[in-house]
Amino acid sequence: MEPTAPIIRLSHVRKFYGSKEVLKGIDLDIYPGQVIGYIGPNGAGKSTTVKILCGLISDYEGSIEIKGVNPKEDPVTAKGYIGYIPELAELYDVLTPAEFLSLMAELYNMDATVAQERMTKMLAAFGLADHMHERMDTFSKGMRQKVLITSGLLHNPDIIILDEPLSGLDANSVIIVKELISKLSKEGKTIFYCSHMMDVVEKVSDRIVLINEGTVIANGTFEELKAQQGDSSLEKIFAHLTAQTSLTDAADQLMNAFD
Amino acid sequence: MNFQNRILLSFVLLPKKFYEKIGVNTRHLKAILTTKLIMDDRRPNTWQQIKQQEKKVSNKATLLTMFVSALMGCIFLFSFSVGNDKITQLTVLFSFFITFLACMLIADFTNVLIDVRDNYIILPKPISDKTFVLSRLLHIFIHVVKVVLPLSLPSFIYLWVTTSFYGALLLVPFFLLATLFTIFLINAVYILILKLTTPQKFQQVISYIQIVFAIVSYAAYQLVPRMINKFNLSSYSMPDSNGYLFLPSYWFAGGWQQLFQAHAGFKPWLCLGLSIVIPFVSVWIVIKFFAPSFNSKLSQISGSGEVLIKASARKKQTAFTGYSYFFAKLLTRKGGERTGFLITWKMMLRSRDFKMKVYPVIGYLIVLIVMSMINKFQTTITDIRNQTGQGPVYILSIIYLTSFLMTSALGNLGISERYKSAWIYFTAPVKTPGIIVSGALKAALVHFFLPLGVCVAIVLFAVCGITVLPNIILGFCNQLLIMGLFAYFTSHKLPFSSPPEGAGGKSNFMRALMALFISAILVVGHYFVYRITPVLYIFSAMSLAAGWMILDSIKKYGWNKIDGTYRD
Repeated sequence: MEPTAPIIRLSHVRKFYGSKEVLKGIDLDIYPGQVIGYIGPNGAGKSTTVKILCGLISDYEGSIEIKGVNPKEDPVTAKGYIGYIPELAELYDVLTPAEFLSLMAELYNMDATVAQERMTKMLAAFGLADHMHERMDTFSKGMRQKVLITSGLLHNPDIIILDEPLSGLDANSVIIVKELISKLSKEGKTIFYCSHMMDVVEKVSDRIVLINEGTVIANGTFEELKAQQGDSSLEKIFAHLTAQTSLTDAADQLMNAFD
Repeated sequence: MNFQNRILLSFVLLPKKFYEKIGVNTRHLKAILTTKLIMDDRRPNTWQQIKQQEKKVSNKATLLTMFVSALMGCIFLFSFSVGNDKITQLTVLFSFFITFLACMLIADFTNVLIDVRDNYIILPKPISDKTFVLSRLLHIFIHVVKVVLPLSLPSFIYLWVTTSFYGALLLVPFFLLATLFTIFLINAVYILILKLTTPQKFQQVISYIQIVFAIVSYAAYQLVPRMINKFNLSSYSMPDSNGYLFLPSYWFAGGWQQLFQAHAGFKPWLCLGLSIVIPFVSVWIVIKFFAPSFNSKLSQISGSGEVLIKASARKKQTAFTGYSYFFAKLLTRKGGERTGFLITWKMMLRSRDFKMKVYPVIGYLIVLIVMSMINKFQTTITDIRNQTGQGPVYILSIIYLTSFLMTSALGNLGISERYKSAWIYFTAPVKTPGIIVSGALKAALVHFFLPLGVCVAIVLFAVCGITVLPNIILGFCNQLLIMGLFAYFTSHKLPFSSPPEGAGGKSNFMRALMALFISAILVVGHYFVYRITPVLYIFSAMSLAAGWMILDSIKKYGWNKIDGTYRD
């Protein structure tokens, strides 16, 4: 039931750091409304892919289309379609959430009143209404993450890229974000979800893309992956496909170190 | 946003039409600049060591910065004592101006311009590279104007008094143009560095440039006034050579001259033309050509994990080899002390903050030594060689000068931006943390004192021969004692465990003063026994014993004597 035109298309995307090839020809079509779980071990090339999609890295080989726009040719338009929620809680923390979000709204050319109304509602939903005009340098990691999530969604983008969005959030906020992801996808938003938390990825994603050493090694729904690999959970499929040695052996070796 | 920022913001946004014409989104530009200026107001700065308890913005720091600039501006006035015509004087003035600004900007750029958070916050947003680069340039421009205004004010007043109001007023546009040009220079230097080296090494290169600048400006500050006296520069006039056209400060001086008192001929008009056209062309070059590559490189400064891992993998583990380990084994006992030694050794070599603070002192020392000899070099050398007249004073100065470096190194040993990593000491089952402090002290001694001491000894042997040996021995023993005293009296910190702000404090200052006082007594005492060789040896033994006892007592420090607790 896939629609005809992909909203994001990566063709033969390669990226080198010096002589090291970090992405070895990634091909990926993502369709509107899909929630893509993008997983892989450390150093697999996940962050590099995300940085390329967000326009942070432009010296890659191959081609990318975001809603038909090539970000190399028209980065501003391409970036406008995307809402990016970075992994690190990178904020100008001497600002207040209201000030920070106003900056975001301006950069996305939003109408000031609309932005004001929206950010008030969103922060209130996250329980931050009382902290709207306090400087963020006193905020906890979770509070900062909520502001970041708000900043990524504020302009109502068609594509949302989340890089470990749940880090630092408490259990209740995790539930809110998970719900939010499924509601956004029902609205037709495309979500690119990068994470190490297999249980969450398993639950929220329509399709799972597993990347290892710069290559896509699995791509399909959870059910398809289960059928292919014969494993019962995403965690096991992940380990099966990416770990070079048995993980139980590794744990045994760790224990043996005490002898 | 405060008043002066509001005014400056409206000022820089005046050429809105022009910005739009070159493809800049002025809405984005205004939003970014507003945010950056608000952040500048709130950024806790060096003078303002009050931490988060004071949330209200204090303008005192801005005032202080402006005061320092005004003072610098007064120092610049001495340009008017060089040469007997305005063009020479103004060339000197603009040279000072451009150099000072460039030095200041190089330092500020790493904090203000290269805010790595921009990579994640602003760059993924739909803004063009041009807008982003212009916002950075204008931000710096505003930042600079806050310094340039008080800096140029004294010259403005001076010209008003000595020539006319018109003459003074004419200076204003040329200061502005020179400022634009300086911004371009710094940008070009940055881009050049980014081209030549990897973004990962960028900040390191910038630090080294800053260190060199600090030393050069200190040398200039010390040497230039003397040179002027020596070469009677007040009657100097720049010869009518076309070579000066390569000197940017000459354009601005010539431009002013031409508008103040028009001269016929091609060269004065050329100066005026260059002084106006070049700054604008350079800004255009930055936006048009440098911007795209600059941004993409900049986005890598924050570093990609993969590349960093590769770089560090190339270096083999050196923890248990090499000469650091040789000295560690020689001077420290196994356990906490050796760990303290080795960790401190590595941190001293690798920590950028530490190098930034301590390495310039080496340069200052060299400048000081050169300085003290420059006037009567020949007699000085003869005196030193024969150890007659002022000779012993020079010899002792050279021997004891290294203490400055040591005190600077010891003072910074406990301080780090990454002070949180010190949790390791606080969680480890160490009974007497003094052994770690002692290990760190020994590392600093071997790292700085040993090589410098060897150099000093070689130079003195070469000049004075072996007769100077007893004095070198006492000098070095005394210095070990001075270091011990300094470490004993000032705060006792675990290596790299305290944040930079509020590191010293008043009591620490008083204690440092006390150490200084005792050191002075030691040095003066040394001077009085300079020629009595047996006493020199006896004093050396006593001094060494005292030094050893102090180090030993530091070793026994319990947790109650360690300053600072783990901070989060």
